[in-house]
Amino acid sequence: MIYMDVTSAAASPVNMGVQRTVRGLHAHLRARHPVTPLRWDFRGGCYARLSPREDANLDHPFASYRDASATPGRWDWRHWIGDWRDTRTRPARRIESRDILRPGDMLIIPDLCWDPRIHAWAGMAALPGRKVAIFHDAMPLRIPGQADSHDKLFAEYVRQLAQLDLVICISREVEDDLLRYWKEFDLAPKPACVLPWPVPFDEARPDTEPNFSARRIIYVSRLKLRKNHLVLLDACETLWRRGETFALDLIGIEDAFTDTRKILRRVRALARAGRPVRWRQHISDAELTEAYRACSFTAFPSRLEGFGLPIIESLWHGRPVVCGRNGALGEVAAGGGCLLVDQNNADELAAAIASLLNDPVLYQSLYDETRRRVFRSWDDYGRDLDQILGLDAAG
Amino acid sequence: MMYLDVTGGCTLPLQSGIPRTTREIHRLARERLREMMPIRWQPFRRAYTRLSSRATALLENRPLENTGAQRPPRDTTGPLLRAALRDLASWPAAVPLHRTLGAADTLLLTSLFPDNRLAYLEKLLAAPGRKIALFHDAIPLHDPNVPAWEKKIHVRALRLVARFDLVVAVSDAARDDLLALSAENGIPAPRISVIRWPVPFHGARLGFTSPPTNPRNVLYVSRLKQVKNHAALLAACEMLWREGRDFSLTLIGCEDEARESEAVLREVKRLAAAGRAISWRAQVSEDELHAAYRAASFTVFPSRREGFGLPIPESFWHGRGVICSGADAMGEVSRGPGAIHVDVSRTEEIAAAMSRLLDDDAACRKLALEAYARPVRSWNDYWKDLEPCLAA
Repeated sequence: MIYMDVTSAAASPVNMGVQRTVRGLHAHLRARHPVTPLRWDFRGGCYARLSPREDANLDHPFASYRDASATPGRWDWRHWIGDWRDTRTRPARRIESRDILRPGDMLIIPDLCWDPRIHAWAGMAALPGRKVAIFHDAMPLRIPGQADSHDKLFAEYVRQLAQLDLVICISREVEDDLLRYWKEFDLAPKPACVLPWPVPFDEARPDTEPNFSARRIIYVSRLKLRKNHLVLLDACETLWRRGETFALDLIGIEDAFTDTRKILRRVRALARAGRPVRWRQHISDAELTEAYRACSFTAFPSRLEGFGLPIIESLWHGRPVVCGRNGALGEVAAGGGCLLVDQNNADELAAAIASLLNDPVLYQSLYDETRRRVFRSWDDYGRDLDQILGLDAAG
Repeated sequence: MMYLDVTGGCTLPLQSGIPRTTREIHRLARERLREMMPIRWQPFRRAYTRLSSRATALLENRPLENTGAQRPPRDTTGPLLRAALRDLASWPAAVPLHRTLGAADTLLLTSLFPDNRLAYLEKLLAAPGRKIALFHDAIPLHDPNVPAWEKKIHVRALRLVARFDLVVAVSDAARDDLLALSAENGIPAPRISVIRWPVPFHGARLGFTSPPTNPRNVLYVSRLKQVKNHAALLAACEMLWREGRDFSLTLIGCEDEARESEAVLREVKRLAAAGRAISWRAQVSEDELHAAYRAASFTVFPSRREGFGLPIPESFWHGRGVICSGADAMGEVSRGPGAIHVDVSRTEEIAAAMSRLLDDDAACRKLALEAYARPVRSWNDYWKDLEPCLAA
């Protein structure tokens, strides 16, 4: 039996990078193999089977809310009551580690385990079943001291990953980081490999036409200072002052209070000054697809990413991306369709945005590059994953 | 006028990389520039000052000859501040760069210690004149043991130098690292030139001597710091001693913070007490360093991360093969004959490489000849590259 830790995707309807990929992985693995999704019970210190509400969150995150929100479910009394009920009934659904890690069993942990569940991994190490994790990034070690960042706990998470049998990294850079930090921590390296994410959509690729005349830019990312919204807003303000006409939509959930407040203050100040900028909050997949269709191109000025899923999403929708070239961003952008800049330099970012707004030849050429790109699907990902895990198609 | 911040070379009688290179750049600038003023940062006055006689002596002479200290200083904040306090007594004249720096002037920082001069230099950005900094490395930003608050100060230093007219990186690896760190910390990419260090010795190159085979001696020149990976080397040596190999290990390098150095010193003492042929010297003169290289059969440099790795070309200059990492700056500096690359995190790999040289005198001599045959950069070569940067 394959067990999958889907804690963050089951706990709420939030559907940002990690949850989106956990949901996609679960849905596609379940189609080929018997899979039991589990969530970590923080009170019991063990895994538990999902409640019907958690199952629904995992499979249909957008069923429980219709409107965009800063954090889906956070201010919803139905979510609170459901959560309270699940907490009360969870002890009956608990399942001990020894029961999910018997010979022939496998536990896949695609979640970002930046919490106390990692302390159980040492105990699991002696159990016969295979333990496989997906590692998203080493951000708190690379950029320590970010708001609400528990850097020490994250360092412990990276250490504890060495207790598992295999760690699948989502980009070459993430694997380099993992191996490097294991070395720094004097830990014997465990097998690790790279398996990049596919395009996280199931439907056929939309035949989107270029949309040069829309003069609308979107940035899909949570509101966190590391994501460089402030530099993007500075760049856009420079262009608006110069008389450029275009609109900017920010899409994504809130993050640490202090980070989000700084970004929203700036957004509101610009909006008050009449600039066409808005925060659309966390929106459903259908709305996101529509947002990609309606924009001319996207900006992704994040300083550092483990993968950069919105870049792939944007290119898949036929929308060029203005983004940085460092690390995993460069890996994802390398196939074409991206205008690479120093994303920390507001002037350079502004120049790149202006060129895409005003140069139809450049825009068309980047659009053509996006159409020529070949994207990995969940089927491709599943085939590679089966090979890595030694699973045959029948399970 | 060129103002040369030589704080790193005139504060403590140390012979580590930054003091040595600072002193040499000062010597070159004094010899070759018409107008040059060495200045030092005085943290207690929050100002640059001229040099005290003690600081000048340290900068211009053999550092060891200028101190009556019984014990070589640790390269840590405490001794640095005590030395600054001692200089305060002579009250050298202040150099108010924020007023005196003119459009034709240049300020060159030979290193950037992240102390309270950062705030001063941030204000100085508004002043006219070129500002240039040498970038050695950003090792603390990669060290998971360095606390976040301390890393933030280093990031502040990176943010500062990014606004300088030019950053001179000491290697391609240091440049790439600076660019990557700038990107991930939200800093616009600085303007960077790469100028690699020369072999930091004076005078004509000494003739080749065969590496001694009886007794065999292994040398590691580096400060005692966790990132320098003495622990792996000592474990590798103990493995070889237990197998019956006959060799001695010489460590040369100053102490760092206690949390960095104490474990290494404890292990050195334990091995010495167990009768292993191991010695440690915190500080040596240049002549003694030459003698140590010539007494070595080969050198090891198992450091995990470096901005450059000066002991590697030093070892080549003396005709001694090096066992070191092939990654980052060390790979860049040592690529080619004369070096054996190993994964320095694996004790067994270090031990295996050492045993090959310890067991095979011909291989050891061949590696030494290859090392000696490598072209070496001189300080003249360095100045030829640096001078256009100063004038541009």
